[in-house]
Amino acid sequence: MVLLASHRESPQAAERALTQFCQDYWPPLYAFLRRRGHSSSDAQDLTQGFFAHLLERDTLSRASREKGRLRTFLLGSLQHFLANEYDRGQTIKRGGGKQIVSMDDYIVQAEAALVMGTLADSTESFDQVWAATVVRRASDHLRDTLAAEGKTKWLEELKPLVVGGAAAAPSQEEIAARMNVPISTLRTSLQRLRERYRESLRLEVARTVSDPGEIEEELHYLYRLLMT
Amino acid sequence: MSWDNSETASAKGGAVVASSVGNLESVCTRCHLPMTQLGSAGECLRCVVRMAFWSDEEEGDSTNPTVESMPGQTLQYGQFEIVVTPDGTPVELGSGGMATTYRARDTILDCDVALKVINRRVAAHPSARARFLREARAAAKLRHPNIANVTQYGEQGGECYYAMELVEGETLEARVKREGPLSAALTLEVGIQVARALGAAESHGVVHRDLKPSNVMLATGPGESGESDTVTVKLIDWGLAKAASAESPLGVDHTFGGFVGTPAFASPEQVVPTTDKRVDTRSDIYSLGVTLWYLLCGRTPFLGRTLDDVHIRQLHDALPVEQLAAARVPKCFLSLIKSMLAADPNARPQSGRELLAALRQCQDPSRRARRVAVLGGGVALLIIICALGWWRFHERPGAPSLNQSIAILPFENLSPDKSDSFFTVGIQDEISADLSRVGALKVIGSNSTRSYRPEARDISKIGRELGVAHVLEGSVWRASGKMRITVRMMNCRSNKVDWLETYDQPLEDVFAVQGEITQAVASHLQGSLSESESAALNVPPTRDLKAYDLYLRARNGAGLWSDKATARRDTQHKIELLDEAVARDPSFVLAYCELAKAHGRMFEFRSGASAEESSIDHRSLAEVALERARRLQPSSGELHLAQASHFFRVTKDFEQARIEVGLARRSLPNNAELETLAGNIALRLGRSDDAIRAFQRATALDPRSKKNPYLLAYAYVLARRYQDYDRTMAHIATMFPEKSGGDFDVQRAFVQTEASGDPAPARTALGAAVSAGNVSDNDREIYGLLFALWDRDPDAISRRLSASKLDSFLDFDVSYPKAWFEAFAARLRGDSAGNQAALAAARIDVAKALVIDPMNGRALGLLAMIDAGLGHRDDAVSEARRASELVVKNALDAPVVACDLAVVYAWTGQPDRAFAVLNEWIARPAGANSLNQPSYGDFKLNPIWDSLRSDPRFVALTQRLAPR
Repeated sequence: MVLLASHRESPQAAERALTQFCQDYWPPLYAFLRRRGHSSSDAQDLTQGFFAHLLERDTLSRASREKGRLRTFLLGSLQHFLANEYDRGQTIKRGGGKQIVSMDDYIVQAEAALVMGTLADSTESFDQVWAATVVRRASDHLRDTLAAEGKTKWLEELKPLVVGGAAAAPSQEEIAARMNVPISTLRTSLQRLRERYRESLRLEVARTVSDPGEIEEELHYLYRLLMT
Repeated sequence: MSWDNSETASAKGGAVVASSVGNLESVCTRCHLPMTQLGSAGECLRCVVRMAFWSDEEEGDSTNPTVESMPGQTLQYGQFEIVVTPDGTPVELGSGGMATTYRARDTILDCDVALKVINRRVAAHPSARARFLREARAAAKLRHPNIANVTQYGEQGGECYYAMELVEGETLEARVKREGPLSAALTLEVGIQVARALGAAESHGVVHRDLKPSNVMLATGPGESGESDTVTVKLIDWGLAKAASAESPLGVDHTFGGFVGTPAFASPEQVVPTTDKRVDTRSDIYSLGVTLWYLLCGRTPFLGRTLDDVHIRQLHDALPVEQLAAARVPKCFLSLIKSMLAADPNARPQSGRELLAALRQCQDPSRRARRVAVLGGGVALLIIICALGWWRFHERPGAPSLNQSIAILPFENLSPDKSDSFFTVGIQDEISADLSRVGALKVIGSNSTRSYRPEARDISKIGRELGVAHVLEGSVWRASGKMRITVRMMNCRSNKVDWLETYDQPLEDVFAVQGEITQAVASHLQGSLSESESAALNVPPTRDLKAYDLYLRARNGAGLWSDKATARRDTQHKIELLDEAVARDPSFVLAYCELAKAHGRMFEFRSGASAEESSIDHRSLAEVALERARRLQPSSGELHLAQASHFFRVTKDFEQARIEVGLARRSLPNNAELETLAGNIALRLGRSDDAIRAFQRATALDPRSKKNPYLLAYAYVLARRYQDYDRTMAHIATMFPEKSGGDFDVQRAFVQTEASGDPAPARTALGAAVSAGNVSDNDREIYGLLFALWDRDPDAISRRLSASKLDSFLDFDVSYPKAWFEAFAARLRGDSAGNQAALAAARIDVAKALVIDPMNGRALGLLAMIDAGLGHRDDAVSEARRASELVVKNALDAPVVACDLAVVYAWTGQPDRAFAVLNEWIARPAGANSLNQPSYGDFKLNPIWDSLRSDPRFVALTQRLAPR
């Protein structure tokens, strides 16, 4: 991702990719920091400081060549950062630091998530928010891909039967009638959509592990996290 | 494989958090787990992740796993037996994502009921079960002829159920499908009956949220002829019902919840919730509008395949009213339906009662005439219509209507023991506090009503002055363990009694009586208590009346003090009372909250305290009190308020304080104290618009308060909205004529000078105030020095300094030593040795102050300027930067310290950097200072900027702030 882009692309593209990386993965870090007892503004500062630290040291590009999982890598790096940098008060410049990600508009929601969650300790809370983040990215990614293929309507019709939601789903018959296809065609389409979700999940998880052999295990782990 | 990414990755970034929260109230229609893990488009993330392991064999087609879980069993739930068809299939009346409703037999009472059973998989989830119970409770509270009654709730073997009145008949949807559209007269009758049901629900603080033809039963009773006179309509399925006032700008459900309801019948604010549009009765009124449309036309006005389609049409398409015209809907009814379907909730009828009145207006003239006669003829009707028009005209959008406003006037103390007055005041205060939890009401409490003594009251005048339609008066007598409380609610316009009640009860019933009074007032005003608030009313704050007495005494103390010593003494006394209260009742949450706030104030007043006083660690004591309250009642609104106050006053964590304010507003929607605090917090966060809104709300809730309009005015200055400032000050001068003259006029004139760059107004006002002798020594001197500086008159400066008794001058809590001004005088004379000597002397004073208070960024900024003047360039820059870091989270100080930094750069020969700083800060709200800060007046007049003045960049900068 980001990491490869930084080698291949222009410096601007690399920077964009790095920023996007941070924007994508800050919620679990924030959740971890809040559960660890930091105030909201300290957690924001620390998240920004941590990203600045990662970017400054080019840690991400180095990390991309190492073995392991992005999830454990990020959490480990954050803990390391807290122990070595913050607690000795060396690098954090409160508020004066660079704003790597824009968090302002979503802090209240992130807070409400903490209030509502069943998250017990800081590490569990990191993992749970992580799982939701990765799965949500997979779902968004699929939506974007299908949109690029001109299949937004198709997805909208079928989605309730595949991935649920709060609004009551129409029956297969109703949807088949609306799409003007026989029910057997609809069932094939549903099957295809399920496969697309499966692929998208695998792809997303693949980006966070260094060995394809770990995908299955990581997926199981995410599944367990979301079901609690 | 490396962690690769691709170009199409979602660029939604931060939005991920917004939707990750989800909603405990609704369940996924597919996996039947609560919707707490939501994707960006409302999909269930649990279902998404399951796709990773999905296989063809596993996936059945059923999306409603309901009855199959119990084939062949005896379908018995407590005393209820589910009715089955001859082939053993249960008779299902309806089913949704979460539960199925069956026809069942009550074996004890021997009658049929509708039994709603929560699906086993859902019931396994505690939060879903809790939600089901809440739903049953919400429905059980509603006893109304147009609402199907809930009679019993039970749990059995991991399942839960409730029984409700079985309505024989058919749903409106079935009726339209069977017979086509209904007549306008019958539709109107349906509308009237549903409006009555909504009114009843509203007075219990309940919103249906899923009102649609399939949730309205047309009951078949004896004599049912299908004609409008005899039909009975009953609203069923409160499955999505929710306590209205529990929703707040932070309300979990509408902010993050994703959609609940049925798209075609849902209101726009239900589909895409925004922070300022809560889902309340007006949302149900919208859904009723769509329902009536469906009954008349056989279809809904906006068709769409998806939720988004419908929503876009709701907002942007014109209503196809030709459909109604084609169905021969009378004009009056047609325009009422149009108004019910307004996209903006404020443009719809605002309450069940208002809707009912409007629907009745549309009934055919012969029927209407009968009703008018009852009212005493057409004149009465005209008056009502005019009054309605007047109310609407005076309503602010989103605010409670005037009719839903009340002031709680001081109660009369009739007790033989006159020292009991605190008890009377306490009861009055508690009733206003309870009423202020009701989102739909505007309640003016004792701060603004204190001056209206019971002896001579002109109710209409009070109504006008406070902007309310009603007042509550009362008297309290208590002696030897008994009490008598009499209350009456008066209508300010008619000067008549709306409601009157006397309670003769043992003293220990005081909380129950307060609760009853609150409920009665709320329901008279058509306000609503949310479920949680009603529940809170029924829980007495303490069971120990002595502890309650102590708490009331503590609350009764004045909130305004002339000096810190008095403030400390009063607050200390308050702490003693509260300590005793919590010693008597260690579970007294409100007392802990008050205690935490009192300790927080003591912490705030710590400067100048005696050694003995300073030895008490008020910060820790406040935290202990908060911790106790948190353990007892973590979601209490008062606790969040106390926590907000603590973060604001003690730890200065303003961002956290803002979050606490949001949480507190959920249960304290009309609390003036909270709004004042919210405004103060917003000011320090540099959110001047939020601050202005909060102070406006605080002013509306407490109109006689002098503090709130001042704060509002101040917020306008910081936002550089000088005209609004002046308007507000003019208003204060009219409201409190005793205020004008002296300090008030001086402040106002200084702001005029700040805005215009013309020193004349400030000079005139100060001259007048000095000759009238009502300006403090400090202010007289510091303002005088300011004029001399503006005039660049070194002799005037020296004269003032040698005549002054003071060694230093306070401006916004920062002490400027005399020598600082002497340095200016010397500089203006061209005496550089004198200038350096004065700066060196000033440095000693400021450095001393910093030893005592090393985190004071303002003082450090001053030190940095002194060092710059002394030519200590590196020290000056690093001090000024450190000062900026210290105040970075305080928007009142940050602009002032930024100017200090700019001065440091200017005086150390780095004008480029000075301009970079100034350019950044003139785009932000101003700070709190009169000496140097980014304002037009200061840039024009203050000699501190003289070294930059000839630079065209400074001219341009000043021009950007020039009055337009």
